[in-house]
Amino acid sequence: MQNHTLMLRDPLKMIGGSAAESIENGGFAAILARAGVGKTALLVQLALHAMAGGKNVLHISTEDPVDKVNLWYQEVFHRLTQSDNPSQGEKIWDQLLYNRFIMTFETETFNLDKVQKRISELMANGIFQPRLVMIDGFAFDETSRPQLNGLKDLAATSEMTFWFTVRTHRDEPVDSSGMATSFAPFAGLFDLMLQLYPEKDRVHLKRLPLAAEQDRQDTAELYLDPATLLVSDSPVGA
Amino acid sequence: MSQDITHVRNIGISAHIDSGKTTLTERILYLTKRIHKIHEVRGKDGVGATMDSMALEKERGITIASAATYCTWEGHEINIIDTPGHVDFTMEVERSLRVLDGAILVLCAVGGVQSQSITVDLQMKRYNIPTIAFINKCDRSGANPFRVIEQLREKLGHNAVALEMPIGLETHHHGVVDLISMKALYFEGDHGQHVKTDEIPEELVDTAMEKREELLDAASMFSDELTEAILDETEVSETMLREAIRKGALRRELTPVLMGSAYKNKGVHPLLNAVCDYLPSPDDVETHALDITKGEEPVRLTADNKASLVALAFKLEDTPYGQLTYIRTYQGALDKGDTIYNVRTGKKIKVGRIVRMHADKMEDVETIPAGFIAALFGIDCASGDTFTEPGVNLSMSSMYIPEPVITLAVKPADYKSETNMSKALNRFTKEDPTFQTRFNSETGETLISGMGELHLEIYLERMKREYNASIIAGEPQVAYRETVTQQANFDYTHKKQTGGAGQFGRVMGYMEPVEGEFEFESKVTGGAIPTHFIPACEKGFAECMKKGPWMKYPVTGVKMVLTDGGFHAVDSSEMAFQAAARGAFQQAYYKARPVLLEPVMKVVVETPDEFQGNVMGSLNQRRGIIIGAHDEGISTVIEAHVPLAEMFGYSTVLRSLTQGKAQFTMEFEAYKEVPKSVLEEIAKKNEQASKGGKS
Repeated sequence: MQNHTLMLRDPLKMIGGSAAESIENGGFAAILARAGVGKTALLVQLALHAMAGGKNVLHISTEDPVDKVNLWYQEVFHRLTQSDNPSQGEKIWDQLLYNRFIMTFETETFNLDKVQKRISELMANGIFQPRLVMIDGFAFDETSRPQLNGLKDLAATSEMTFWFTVRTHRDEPVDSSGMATSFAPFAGLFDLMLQLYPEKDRVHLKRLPLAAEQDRQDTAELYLDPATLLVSDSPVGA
Repeated sequence: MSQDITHVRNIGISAHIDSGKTTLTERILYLTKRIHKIHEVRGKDGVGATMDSMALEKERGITIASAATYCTWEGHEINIIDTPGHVDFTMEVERSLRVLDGAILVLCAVGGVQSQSITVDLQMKRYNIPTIAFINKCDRSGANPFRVIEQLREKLGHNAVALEMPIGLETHHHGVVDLISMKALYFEGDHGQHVKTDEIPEELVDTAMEKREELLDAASMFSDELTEAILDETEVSETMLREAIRKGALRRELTPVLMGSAYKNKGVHPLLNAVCDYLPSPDDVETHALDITKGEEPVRLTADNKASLVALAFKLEDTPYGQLTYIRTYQGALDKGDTIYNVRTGKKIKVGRIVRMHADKMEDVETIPAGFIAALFGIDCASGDTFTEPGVNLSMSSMYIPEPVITLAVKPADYKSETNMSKALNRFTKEDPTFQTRFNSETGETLISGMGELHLEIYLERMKREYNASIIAGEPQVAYRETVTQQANFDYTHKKQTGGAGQFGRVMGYMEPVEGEFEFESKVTGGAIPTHFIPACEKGFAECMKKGPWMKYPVTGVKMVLTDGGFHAVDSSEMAFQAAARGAFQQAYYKARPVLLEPVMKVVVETPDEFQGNVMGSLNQRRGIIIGAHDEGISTVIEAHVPLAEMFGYSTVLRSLTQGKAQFTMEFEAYKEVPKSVLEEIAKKNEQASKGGKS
């Protein structure tokens, strides 16, 4: 169901270039940042934009309980629609809920096999057909590569986009493009990678070059407003 | 009656429905010579188990009320509360656990740890109750007690360790090996009343040694003496080992596991010994009361007969001889003839008669020592009240009471039933805080609310059987509301000037949606409507809120603003303006685009993993929005928002979808607009109902 009343700016369009197109028909995308910089906030903005466009979003978290994830959505939605009529806002919110499904897992028992199993169950029982799957809090390591490949196949066959958040560490070495070396072996799986860099009083959002496009010119300068954690094209808080 | 507090055990027997706890209790009572004949739960003799004292319970083969009973074993006095295993009666379970010092968790050797066991175990954790486990039904096909012990560890997080191992399983289940004395125990006689001790069968010796090692390992964590004995390879005495196990069990850090088959009378003797050996006496348990005079500061109670009395009424029962109040003394002794003080009501009461209950038989006693459970006659109080000595203002901490989730309208069929129904409702609400009644002035009906449909059904049955009241129960009802969604103007003149005293009033203004129930504002200037008629206008509008012009449901969230009007020097009256306001309301209402609102509930279902797809599907079908699902490894907790109207009968549906392994809770979330398709159905139903009413 297309929701015309909620005109959210698409953070991906704001990045410009081919960012939005690269994952239009399914694929893997990642948001890299250190803890507490705004990965989840950005993820939720992307999700809300997709939901407003009538796309189903499955949000998977291994860190927060359902209530807290829901609170993230409510908060970001509230900030995005602050100026609007509140009763109208509530109505839109009620509508958006149909496009969202939250799944949370205990970190210890979480694995990508479970994710794939759950998605097929949801689809097979006609409960929910996700177009975007947001996976917040997955720790990449070599043992999960076969499962990642499995999901990648699923992404291609059912035109599903998987967004992953990737937590990097402050003192971790980075390669020439600025990517954390621990994540670099997995970069080849991804069709789009965004990195958040905390600067003095703002958070810089940059698109990382893919392996195949090392010499691509960087696109628009984007920032996260450090107060609201919303995407903005002005370097100072909007 | 024993006065030695260290030889008293107040225990509960908690379990999943049908894991055989009533049968087990029956066997315990037989072995302790409280009863002289064994009746099965669904036995052919038609008597039923002794603990299920209500006729209805016998008929359904389930235990509803927690009948308290006591027995003696090896110089110990054991008070047993038989708790219901059904999800719909968790309040009963919770209340029983509150007064107990220890519990036996009965598990089925075939079914293992089921979802209800998980709930019951959580409740025991909440009240910090030391537990021993009994794995029952070892004679059934598919029995595997060691798999159940594994589940106790994995699913419930218990440090469970076997004190016994079975001698044969399924049809070959003959007895148990006691891993402490390293002897084989066989149970002989018609009802297994004679225990025969023998050497461990040769083929089981190796396994038994292995299991004993595990037991020693686990127990050594709680005793340095035992650790030393093991390290020095000196003899480990039975007493030493028992003491170590007891220490671990009292701290809830070790769960001793026993096994057998209550139905086949195997393993009940050692279980009774274990109750005495490993479960706490009232003296081992720390209890606190709240000092009301000092801002509910916690006060430590001591199970001392000479200290001032603090006692809790934890259960009421209506008997042919009057109200029976089950009471547990925490501190001080209670003697016949004492005057006690009800802390909640501030009333003083004289104790006339003290009895000890054995299901529905009773025995008079003179005193209840500290830490004991007994019952009082002729005391007027509610469940959960605290009794003290006059002048002592201590209250036992308030018990957690869940909110009722289902409401049903009831109507007496005839005049006689009317009195009986009100008597019954009065009694039930006193007995069971989760059962509530209220009178709905909107519909003129008496509403009863409870924890589930079955919960209410049981009370309807009890009204019929025990109070001889024939009741007509309505369909579970949903309280719809109407509201408006946009501003609309009105200009209405009420005019009646033909013959007799005339009526004239004109009101102009607008109606708009508002947060809250109802608002009224007058912006009339220049005396277009005389000031003294303005309250009449408000009254007229407010009247319309009670019953909406559209679907006849109460209206909410409307603001009426009066801007102008007109009057007639002679014919205007309060009545005329009230009528004008009513007309204006009707006129504006349809233009303000009215919508119907329905209560939407937050539903949380806890289900074993394998059924989560089914459960989500069932919620989806009920117009539910699934907010999320939390995977807990073995089970999944699903949260959804579902209209109340779609939730009736859900407990039955859920049970059949999940083999009874899932359970749900439901609470009010918000009023939301009813979708168009559903609206038409409601309108149709209402139309039929009103037609039916007229014909």
